[in-house]
Amino acid sequence: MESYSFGFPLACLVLRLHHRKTVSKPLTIADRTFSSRLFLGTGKFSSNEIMRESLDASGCEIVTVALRRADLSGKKDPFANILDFIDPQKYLLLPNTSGAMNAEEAVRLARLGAASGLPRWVKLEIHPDPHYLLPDPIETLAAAEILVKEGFVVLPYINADPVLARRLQDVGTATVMPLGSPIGSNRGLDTRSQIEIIIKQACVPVVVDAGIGAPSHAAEALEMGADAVLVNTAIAAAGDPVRMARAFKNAIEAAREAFEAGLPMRLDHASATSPLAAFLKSV
Amino acid sequence: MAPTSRLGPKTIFLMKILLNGEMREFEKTKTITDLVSALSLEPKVILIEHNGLALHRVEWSSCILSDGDCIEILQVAAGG
Repeated sequence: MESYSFGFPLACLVLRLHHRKTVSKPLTIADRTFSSRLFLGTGKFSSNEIMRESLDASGCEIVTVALRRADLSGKKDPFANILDFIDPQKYLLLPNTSGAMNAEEAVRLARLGAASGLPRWVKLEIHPDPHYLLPDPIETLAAAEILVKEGFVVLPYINADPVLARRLQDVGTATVMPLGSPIGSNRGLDTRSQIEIIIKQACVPVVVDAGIGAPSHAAEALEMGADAVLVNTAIAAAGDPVRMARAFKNAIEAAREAFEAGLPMRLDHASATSPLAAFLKSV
Repeated sequence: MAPTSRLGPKTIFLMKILLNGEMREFEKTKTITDLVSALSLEPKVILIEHNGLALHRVEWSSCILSDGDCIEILQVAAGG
């Protein structure tokens, strides 16, 4: 029986393959490093228990929460103890400023969160229009400037506007978070071409937020070079949120690995993958 | 014996507070800690603003309430 012997070059190749990087590059925001590129929102889950299981299945490390006026009616709120279901040792709690109609209200909410012991990180979102929930760029920039000066790590939710994204990174925000499509719409990356420009220009991580309705949308963002995605409705409102959380985790890991591996160039014509059959012509 | 004023018993203790946008009257609430207790709130999940200033938890017991104060009480809730 013929035996194969590896020559020196082949042995080197095997060694290189064996040592090839198998773990994707971590995500760094401000002074913290994360292995997951999925942020998970906590809204719309049917129970705190399902939310906790979904967080676990998603592998996420950053979890958003909202701040709202306390219910003083004395009625029992089943979601009142949400913090009992999010381990602060395992997840970074990221309070958002949803509900703020202008910069002043957003700044007040951020200060309240920090004063009460939440991390000095804030997902800055100001969307006065309840129908489309599109963010107000002028108020967002004004609030970002104030909060950055006060030492907050600011992650602003914005429309996919490359000029605004640059202005925000220039004032010192830790990320930019352009929307793919309106919050909760599950429409995917309607703003794809604008997000591409934001990614090209960014020197801070780009987190695609809002509108991501399926793992394929998240994968599309990561393959484009977005650093992370924030998902909420697509997981919380799924038939089985825990399985959907796992599906997103897998899609995001695969897409990031594909991005780091280097996707081949798109062509507008064919490029043969098999030798073109010249011998048939010679018969 | 309960102290009284010209306006009748108890009124000496009544305090008006604009609480989450609604005017409410409270008895014997000297500090924010008293107010949280009077409202039967779980301190762990709430955030408090006193006359526009965010309060640290450690300040609750030393923050003395005055008639006409404006208090906002928020809580951590689910959100994306």
